[in-house]
Amino acid sequence: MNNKYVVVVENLNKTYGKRHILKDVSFKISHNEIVGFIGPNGAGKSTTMKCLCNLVIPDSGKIQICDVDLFKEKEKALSYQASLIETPGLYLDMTGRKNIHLISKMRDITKERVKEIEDFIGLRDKLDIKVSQYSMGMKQRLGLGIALLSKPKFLILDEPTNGLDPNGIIDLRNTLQQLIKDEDISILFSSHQLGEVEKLADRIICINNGKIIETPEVISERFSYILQLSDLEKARPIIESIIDKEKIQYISLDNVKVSLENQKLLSELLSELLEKGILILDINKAEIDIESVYQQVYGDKND
Amino acid sequence: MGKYIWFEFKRQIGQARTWFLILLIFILSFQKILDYKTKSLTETSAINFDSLGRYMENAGSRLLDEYKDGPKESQNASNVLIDIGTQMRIAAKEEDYTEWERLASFGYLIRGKAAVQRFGGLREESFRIKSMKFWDEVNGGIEYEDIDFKFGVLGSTREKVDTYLITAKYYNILYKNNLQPVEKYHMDSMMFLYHYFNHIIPIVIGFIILAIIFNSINDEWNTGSLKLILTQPFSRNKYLGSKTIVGILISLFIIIIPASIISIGYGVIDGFENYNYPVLFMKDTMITFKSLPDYLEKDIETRGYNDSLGISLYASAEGGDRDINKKLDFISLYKLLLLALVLLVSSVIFYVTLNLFISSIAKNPVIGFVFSGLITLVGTILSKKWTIKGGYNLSPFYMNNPVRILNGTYRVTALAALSVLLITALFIFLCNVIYYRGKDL
Repeated sequence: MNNKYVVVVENLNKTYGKRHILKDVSFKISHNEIVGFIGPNGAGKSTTMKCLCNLVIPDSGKIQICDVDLFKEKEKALSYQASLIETPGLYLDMTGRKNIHLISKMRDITKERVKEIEDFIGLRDKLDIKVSQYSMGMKQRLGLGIALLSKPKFLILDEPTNGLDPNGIIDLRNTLQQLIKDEDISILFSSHQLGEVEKLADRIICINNGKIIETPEVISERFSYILQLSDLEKARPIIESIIDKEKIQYISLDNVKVSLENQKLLSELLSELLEKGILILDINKAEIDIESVYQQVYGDKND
Repeated sequence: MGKYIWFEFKRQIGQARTWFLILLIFILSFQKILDYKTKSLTETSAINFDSLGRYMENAGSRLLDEYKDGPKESQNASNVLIDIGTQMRIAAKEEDYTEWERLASFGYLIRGKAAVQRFGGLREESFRIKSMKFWDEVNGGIEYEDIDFKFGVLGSTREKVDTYLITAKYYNILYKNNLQPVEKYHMDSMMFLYHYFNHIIPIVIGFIILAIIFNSINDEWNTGSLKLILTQPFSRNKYLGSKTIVGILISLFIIIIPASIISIGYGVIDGFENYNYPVLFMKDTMITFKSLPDYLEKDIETRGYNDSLGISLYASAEGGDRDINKKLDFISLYKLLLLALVLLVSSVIFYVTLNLFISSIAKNPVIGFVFSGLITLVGTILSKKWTIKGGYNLSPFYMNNPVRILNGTYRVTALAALSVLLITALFIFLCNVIYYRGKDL
């Protein structure tokens, strides 16, 4: 794979009758990136995701998965990805284990990998009961396990937290974070719950009325921190070597606000400062104002 | 694809619906068997071995009368026929059916020769060539040239010559294979299969496949398992292809399991001895589109039954084809059943593709069921009357009786049925592929 992007979507269009559901939707997803996909109901999130996994056929546009054109080499492109669209697609009249075995046989998955995934799912003896008796959380885990069987490079999760209780949501979040650490995978996931998106995603793509819209400033600044330092002057060159100047705001003699692309940069910055003998007197994370996000993302819904 | 087919096939076998349908066919089969046994006990027109002997004696006596002032060779030939009739009656009394069949075959050959000598020339030579194939097997030492009626029989017709010849052939096959003529309501391992293909499957095939396939695709769409499969590197064409193959396999499984079990059950008792039983069939049915007129129905209407397995020999029945016997031949029962299976598979393919297409279109399984059911019902009812010029019926809904089609009396030949069923099925499948290729799920 030469391209630095796992997924490239260009000018995707889809109409249902007179309704133009997707209007030139374009975006890219890099390796090992978790991308949140947000937008109001009917904005085109699910349709875009269904286009990505071949459940909806777009009128025009291009989708490349790991450099393979989805519409020219469907089977090859689909072999690089896995998806969980809305409720997990499972054979309800079969046991969880049989569901796993079906896909493992269809895709020639090794027994070791199947065992690994069965452990990952963690349902143990419940794998031998019919899926129709599973809770939504169990179905999500099973669906996710099946999706990961083939070690996909790209995972699509449409509203993965829907129907989950708070424990289930925490569990799913931990699982996905663990996944990024353990596997070479990029994830595109949609959710209504901005808090969840904020906690998980490296980057956020917003869609409204079938169009990708500019990411609201407040979201792009969701990794903003105000640091109170013992010697800001001494810290200045260190901060500027790690973070772009335009994302640094010197508030007072000892306070500085930094906007980071991701949370990893914070650790890096703090280590550097401490190494140079600069004390960190206080640290505050700038909270996202959910309402302002909604206003920016959904504000023009009725335009 | 093979792995998915095997998985789906096993899943279908595990469903209660599959076994319910098998049970239903078992019940229908047993009902048919009981019905046949009842008829067999009450019917009085079973083959009477003595009466056919008497028939030969009478025919010989009539010829003797005809030639009382004629050549001595012809009188001798008439006496041979009388003697054959007498020997047949003795054989019947002693229950020596092998000898009885040899004599019957020889008797009909003599009658055929008497009839054809009326025409002489090429026709007589043609009869000689055809009959010599089995004359030597049944003649009891009497050479072909020893039977000579000089001027033939008054009132002979070409049709009668052909009828005598084919009847002689029938008894010759029974004699050679050591088989007994079956009564029309006889039931054994092989005969059951014949009746199964002829009287049970044609009635239920459309509705069995409807019951299996009506929710094959839309149910997967509703439960979400379709998403699981189609988001794998498994194309929609492969999915539809697999569904079609599984539909065909499971339909055949449901049809074949009861037939096999009952037939094997009978076979344990009778040792499948009738596997080689001669069945009359239209010999060109696999190479011509022109079927025989459907006068068999009239035969059944007027007589109440069909004498032999396969086509009726009563060509003189109203609407009958006077040249029919030239177009007929015998085929072993097991061969006919194998050919019937080929036709049955074609019929299954047609119904499966039709129901799958409707299951693709109708998202609601209930609507799909009603729609498919109506098409099958209306198609079956209307197509019985749907004949084109010449009495042919080319509706695929009509082609569900493989035995009658092979006999050539079903307003359609086997070639025409195979062509119509497979071409229609291919067309429906392609429509489904095109429709499904652009369908949003």
